[in-house]
Amino acid sequence: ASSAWEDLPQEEYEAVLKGKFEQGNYSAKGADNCLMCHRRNETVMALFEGVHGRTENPASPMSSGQLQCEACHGPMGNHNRGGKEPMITFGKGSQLSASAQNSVCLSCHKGDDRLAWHGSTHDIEEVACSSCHNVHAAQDPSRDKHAADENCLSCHQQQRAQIHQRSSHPIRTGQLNCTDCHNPHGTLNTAMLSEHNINDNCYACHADKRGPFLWEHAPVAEDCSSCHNPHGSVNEAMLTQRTPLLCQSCHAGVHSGTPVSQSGQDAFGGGRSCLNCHNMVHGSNHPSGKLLQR
Amino acid sequence: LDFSLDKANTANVKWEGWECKNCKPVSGSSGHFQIGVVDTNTDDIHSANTLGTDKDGLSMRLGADINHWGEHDTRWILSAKDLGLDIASLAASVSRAKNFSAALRYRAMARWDATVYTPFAVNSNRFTLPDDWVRGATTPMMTDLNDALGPKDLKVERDHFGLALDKHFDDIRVYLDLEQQQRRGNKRASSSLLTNSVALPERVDDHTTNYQIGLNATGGLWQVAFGYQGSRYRNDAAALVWDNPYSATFGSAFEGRQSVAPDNDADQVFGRATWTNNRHLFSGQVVWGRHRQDDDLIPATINGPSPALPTDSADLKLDKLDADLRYRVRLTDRASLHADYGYQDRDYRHPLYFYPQVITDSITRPAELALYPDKTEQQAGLKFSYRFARGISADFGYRYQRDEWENQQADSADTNRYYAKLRLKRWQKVQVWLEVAEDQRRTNGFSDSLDLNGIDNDEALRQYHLADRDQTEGKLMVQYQPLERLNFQFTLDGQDQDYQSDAIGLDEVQRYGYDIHATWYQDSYHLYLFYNDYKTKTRQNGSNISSRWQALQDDDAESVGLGFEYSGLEESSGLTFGLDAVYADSDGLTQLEQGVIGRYDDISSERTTLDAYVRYRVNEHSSVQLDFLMQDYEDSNYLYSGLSADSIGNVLFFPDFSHDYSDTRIGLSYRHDF
Repeated sequence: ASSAWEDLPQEEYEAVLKGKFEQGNYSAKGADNCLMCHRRNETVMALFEGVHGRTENPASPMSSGQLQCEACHGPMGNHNRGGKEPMITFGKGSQLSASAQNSVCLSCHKGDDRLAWHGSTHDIEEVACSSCHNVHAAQDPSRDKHAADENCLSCHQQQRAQIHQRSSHPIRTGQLNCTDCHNPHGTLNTAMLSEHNINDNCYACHADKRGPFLWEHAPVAEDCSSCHNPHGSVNEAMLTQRTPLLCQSCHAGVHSGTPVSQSGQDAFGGGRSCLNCHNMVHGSNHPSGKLLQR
Repeated sequence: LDFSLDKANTANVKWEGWECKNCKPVSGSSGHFQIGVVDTNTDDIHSANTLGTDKDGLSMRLGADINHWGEHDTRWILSAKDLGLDIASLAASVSRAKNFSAALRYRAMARWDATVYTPFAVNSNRFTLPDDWVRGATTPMMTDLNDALGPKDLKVERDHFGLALDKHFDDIRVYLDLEQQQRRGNKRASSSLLTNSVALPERVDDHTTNYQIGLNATGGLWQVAFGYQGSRYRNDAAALVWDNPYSATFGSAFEGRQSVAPDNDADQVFGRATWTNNRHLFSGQVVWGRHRQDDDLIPATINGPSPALPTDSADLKLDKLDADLRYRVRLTDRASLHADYGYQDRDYRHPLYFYPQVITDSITRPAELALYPDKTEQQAGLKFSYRFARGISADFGYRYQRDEWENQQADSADTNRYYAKLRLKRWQKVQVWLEVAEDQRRTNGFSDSLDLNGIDNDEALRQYHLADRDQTEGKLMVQYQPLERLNFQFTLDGQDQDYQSDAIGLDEVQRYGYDIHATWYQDSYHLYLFYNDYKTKTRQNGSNISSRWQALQDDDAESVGLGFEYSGLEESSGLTFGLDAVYADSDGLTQLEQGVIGRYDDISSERTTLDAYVRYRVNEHSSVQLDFLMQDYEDSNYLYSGLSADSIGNVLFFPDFSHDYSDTRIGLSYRHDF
């Protein structure tokens, strides 16, 4: 009989759940009703190993005065009377849209770092909270940083490729995680960055580059990603191009535009190239540092 | 659809029967701890980035993940990973959900670059040469150079200590977050005197303290947040001084001196709010910040008396203002409209001074006025989203951006961007996303050929972050799920940035590639496989004013990974296996054409990483694990491949520090679950 429900078009299926939710035909005994059948299911009972299964905290759905299982899964209605009338379900097998699933979670988990969820990229792309989180577990799987990164990279494939390139932030070795820079719950900033702009995000760990410097290097002060790709690059230091060509994209004077036709021969094409002398490319605090040499 | 708890119809709930007799939340402690040793075999410290330590031989390794439920649903968590290695973490917290939490965290990070050979001894911030050093006009004339070379590890360790406290008062949460980051080690640096330069293993010894306090509140349809963020960076070094290994041609320039990153402060306050009734959504934030720096200025000269400076200390301030607004309205069940606006202003506020420009102690250039790159950016976007049918939807968008610069080569730029995205999620087994975008940036008011540093450039130069540019992007993503637990994903990605071909600077950048990813989950095993290949072609036009040239950078990066975990034998023999293997190859070709074609040597890296384990379950609570981690790595960089310390007459560089190693780590550990 359950397959009859599963065969319903999504709109009709959702309409059934909406009707049940509005009718509010909750069970007579709350979780005890549900667990009569579901207590043999390990996944169901794992709820009591985690924070959502607590009974002494009024903030928990299972505490006294809360709607217990039906807080998240909706009113039981006729679900226990044969025919397996649908309930609100979560995860990949759910026939509900992500936004409908998420409305349950977000009704308690609002504010804080989820303030900008609505209208964020993940909201628009219908990413369900249950894609990353699981309340029927002792620990939310997103606490495992490596697994959380895998979750991000399963969609962001180009970034997966970049973290394996010659130079990258140490994400593949687990020193850093995607959430060290991005807030997957949404922000009002570029690329869901945790800080308000790209440079502030970089300065959170690289405050030595923050300045302000007596002599600023304009593209550096404006946007670190002018020269670096933070996810990885085939060049050293995650540079978008390699020296001296990177520098020569913007400097074309008698000295700076000298063509280097063969590498390793002189100060332009060997060692650190332009940086052999212009070491202070992120800005200089030397009174005579206008050329970023000091 | 909105199934929010606060919209639930609970009028007919018969609470008196809701006893929850079968609700048996766990209490007490559970989790595991792990104790073991690792035996590391390293030829090159670079492998420590993967192996977690550069210590050769045996190291202890501890780990734990312990959860304790106490009275009143108070939860204690202790987690530790790889304590004893150089890359490790430790966190402890106590919390009661929606009531309070307190957390302490520690994270040890490190970056290993290379072991380099240098004649300099590092003594605090001074780099000294041996007493019997023989100076030379060029590096081959420094007769003791090769004998004086000694090893120095370029390695920077970074320790993070954090404390986070928060407390809920009904729908209000207040929080405090403190973090101290400490860095120690040495990194690559260079310094120069006129036309001679030296490579230095610059000492890193600094710390950054970050703190944040704030208040978040929710009420009805509103969510608001206010807060303050502060950051203090302190560098133990004030300047970097080095013995000049070259003959002191000019005066008595026996030492070089270079500035270092100055102590600096950053402060910002922010306010954010969201209001939504599901049909309408308003979000916005305002962030005001100031960066300050007031380090004492070091002398303009290197050895002799400095000319008078206009001020004793830097006294620099950068004020920033960010404001963002977002509005969305659901026009119908199928259509919605999104609008947003962003404003960013960067304004340097400090007195303008002329500073003497001393090249060496006896060569000076005229004093120069320090100018600062103020910027204002405004963005506005409009996006229409429409659902054509179940599982078929699309976005159509337009975005306008206006950039206004001061003290740069261009005054302003206008960028118009158009994009569309199609989502096909109608079928059970196949989902498709297709995105295309195009934007055009047109820059106004190129001033002259002088850049901010006062250097005369070819007048056709257009710096790429300011230049006219047409950009086209496309992305196709297909997901195919033939079985419930078998998933394939294919991504094709491309971007073309086209700059004016007759200008000097970037001409065209093309990036394209694809990725294949497969996962297969079963109860007893989990398997994954990925392969990707991305290419970047960068063409540029160069000029030294008297002649022009072209360059091409042709990059290719691919990686392939395979992993599985098998627990099918656990019941019969107690064994579980796991393997993670990744091969990654990055290659870059560089070609320069000026009548004849010149080619640079390789820039490449090839890395194979193998991470395998076998775990034997001794009994219900105990298991023993043997793991093996190996990295095989080889790289080259045309800038220093084959380079010896005296290869270049006026550059005293580190000899070639390309990597070529195969390093391993074997671990044995005991784990107790409870």
